[in-house]
Amino acid sequence: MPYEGQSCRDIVSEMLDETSVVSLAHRQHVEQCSKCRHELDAQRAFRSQVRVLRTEHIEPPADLLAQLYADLRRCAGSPSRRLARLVRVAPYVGGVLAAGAAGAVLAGRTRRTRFGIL
Amino acid sequence: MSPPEVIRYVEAARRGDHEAFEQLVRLTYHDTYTLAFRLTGNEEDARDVVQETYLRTYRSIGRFRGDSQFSTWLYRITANCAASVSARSARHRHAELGPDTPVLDLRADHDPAQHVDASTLRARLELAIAELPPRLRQVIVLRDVYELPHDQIAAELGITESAAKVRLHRARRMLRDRLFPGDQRHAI
Repeated sequence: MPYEGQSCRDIVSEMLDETSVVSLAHRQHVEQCSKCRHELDAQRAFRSQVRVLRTEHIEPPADLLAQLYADLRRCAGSPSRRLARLVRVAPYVGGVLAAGAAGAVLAGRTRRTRFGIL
Repeated sequence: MSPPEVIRYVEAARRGDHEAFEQLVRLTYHDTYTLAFRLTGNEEDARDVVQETYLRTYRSIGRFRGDSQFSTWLYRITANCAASVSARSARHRHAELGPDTPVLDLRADHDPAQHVDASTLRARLELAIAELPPRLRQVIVLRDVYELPHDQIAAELGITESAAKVRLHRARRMLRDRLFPGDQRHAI
């Protein structure tokens, strides 16, 4: 099937992106169209060059790590952080207190029953 | 795959261990800074992005469930912070390349990519990516360098998936045109 311009660019982009599902018609077009095939090959080669950058680190400023630690310590000591921690542990503390209170009530009832108070 | 050391620190940090989180920062901040620099294109913004990224990560690490790798999660937060910083930064240092820009003139007779020394090409790639408009730079870095899926890129940049794909296509074209201006014979 013949395609032109924008359609060809879209098809090549689809083919280049391995996560896309490419229709049979589009695959056949790229196989038969020398321009699209060349473009796809060129883009694949170029992308593999770009991907190499993943392993190349850019050196951060010398004082950045110390700055990050300082930020984190400030954040750890901030009221909102302490409040967040309190909110996180509150259900557990509440559960333990509730269980303790329920146990105390039950124990009291048992004692009263045993001594015939009820 | 995250290194075992990182996994251990993530687990401890999730339980509220502050020192474990600091160790995570130590192990990952080079990588985070590199991504931040590539997304923003300048040191000052990259620094802001890294600081904001770790603060957000610190506040939300309890919600990290390990569905993805920690590094991917960190990349997403970095991308989101970079989008915010870029949006509020009035100092986009993007300079359009003029026709006389010598550094990107890599004209070659046949297949330019094969005629250029690899390290030189990498250095020029870095430069060419840094000089892309921020909106295009972000998608090409996240997709082609860090291999984040389109839906995650779109989510972190606050755009639709189709917009992310359009930007990616434009970014790839622009980058290739700038690096290999003579290689237009088969352009579609």
